Amino acid sequence: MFDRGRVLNSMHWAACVMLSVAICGCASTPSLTQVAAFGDATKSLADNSKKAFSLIDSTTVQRKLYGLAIDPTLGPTDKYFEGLFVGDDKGLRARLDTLDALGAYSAALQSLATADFRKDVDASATALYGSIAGLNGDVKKLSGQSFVTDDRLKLIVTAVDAIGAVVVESKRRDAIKVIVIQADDGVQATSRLLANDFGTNSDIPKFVKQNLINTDGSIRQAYNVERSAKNSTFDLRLTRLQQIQVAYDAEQQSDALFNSISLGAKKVGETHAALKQAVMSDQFSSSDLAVLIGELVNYAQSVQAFYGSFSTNGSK
Amino acid sequence: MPTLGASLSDLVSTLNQLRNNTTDPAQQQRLQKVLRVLFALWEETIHQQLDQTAANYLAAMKSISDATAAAKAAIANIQKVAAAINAAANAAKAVDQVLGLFIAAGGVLA
Repeated sequence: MFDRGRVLNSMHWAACVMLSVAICGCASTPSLTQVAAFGDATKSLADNSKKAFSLIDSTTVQRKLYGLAIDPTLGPTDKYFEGLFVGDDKGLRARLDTLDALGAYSAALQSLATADFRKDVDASATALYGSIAGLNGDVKKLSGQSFVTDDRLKLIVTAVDAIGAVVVESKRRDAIKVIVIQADDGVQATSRLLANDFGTNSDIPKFVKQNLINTDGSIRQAYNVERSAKNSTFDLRLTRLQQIQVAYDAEQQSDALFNSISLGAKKVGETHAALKQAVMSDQFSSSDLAVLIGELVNYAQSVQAFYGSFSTNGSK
Repeated sequence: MPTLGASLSDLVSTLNQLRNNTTDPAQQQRLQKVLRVLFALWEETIHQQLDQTAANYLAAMKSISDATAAAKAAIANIQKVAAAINAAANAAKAVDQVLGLFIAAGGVLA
């Protein structure tokens, strides 16, 4: 025979147990802030690395145009407006696509770490309470008594909400663990390749610097041609000298910019490796990881600052 | 033994420095003519280097892209927890709607 009271007592007891488990589970759950911070800093570095590749083209075209302007025997043809990468360059495309992928991965990891799943669970539990309370009211109208008291209903819905919260957090951490481990090989390889592309021994940073020096040289050459001309004035000469100064400052900053990006790329690899170690031990934050992420954030910010002050068009 | 790129880099650097530190525009012009040719050769060398390592980038990209897809799928999967609770709420509401009709028709439960 169906014993309504016995069933409801069992549900009450089960809800208390589940609620206790949920609270204990939440108390030992580590923070995901570091995972989110890693995602943010890595995306920033990926974006800045893309800008560095576009700097190769822009400084190349600038060198050519200034070189064209200083030589009146030459006229403009298409090649003077072409950067290092012409058309859909295979080498550049592979790099930009990989940087896009790294940026998308970082953003997805950050979303997974910071998404407020609890809010959705809370809203759904509230809706559940409302629906069952409504149903309870109608059953009382029809039969003269409700099938659950309001206090017990609240306890059950609270348990559902708490269990839902534990489930989403558990799923979140499981997902981050799998994804970080899966991505690590690719992140390490990309980190190495970028650090190499922008490193001090690579041709890319040297090429950009020499582009800038050559542009500077064309302005100096123009100064030397113009300074003894009849219409030469102090103001015209000073204007040219100020242009030379801007160009000179840009070439002085060039090495530091690429060095920052190269070191930042290495730091992405180191930090992701530490993150992988942490999640494999089911730890989502650690003091070592915090230090590495702090350094990564600093590199990302220093690269941003460099771009802010870096001018290659001859004017500040 | 230095690579061709390294040799070109050193030579361009030396000639750029010479050009920028002479004040004779005719000499600067002569140096620039040589630099123009060297830069073109250097560009070609860099192109070849970048093409050679393109495949390495694409291989790295695959594993990262797979992980990104997994992250997005995980978010959708986690959102199903709230959806499951919502489904229970909707089911209770549906039953309540039926009972509402029963009540309106004057019915009572035994």
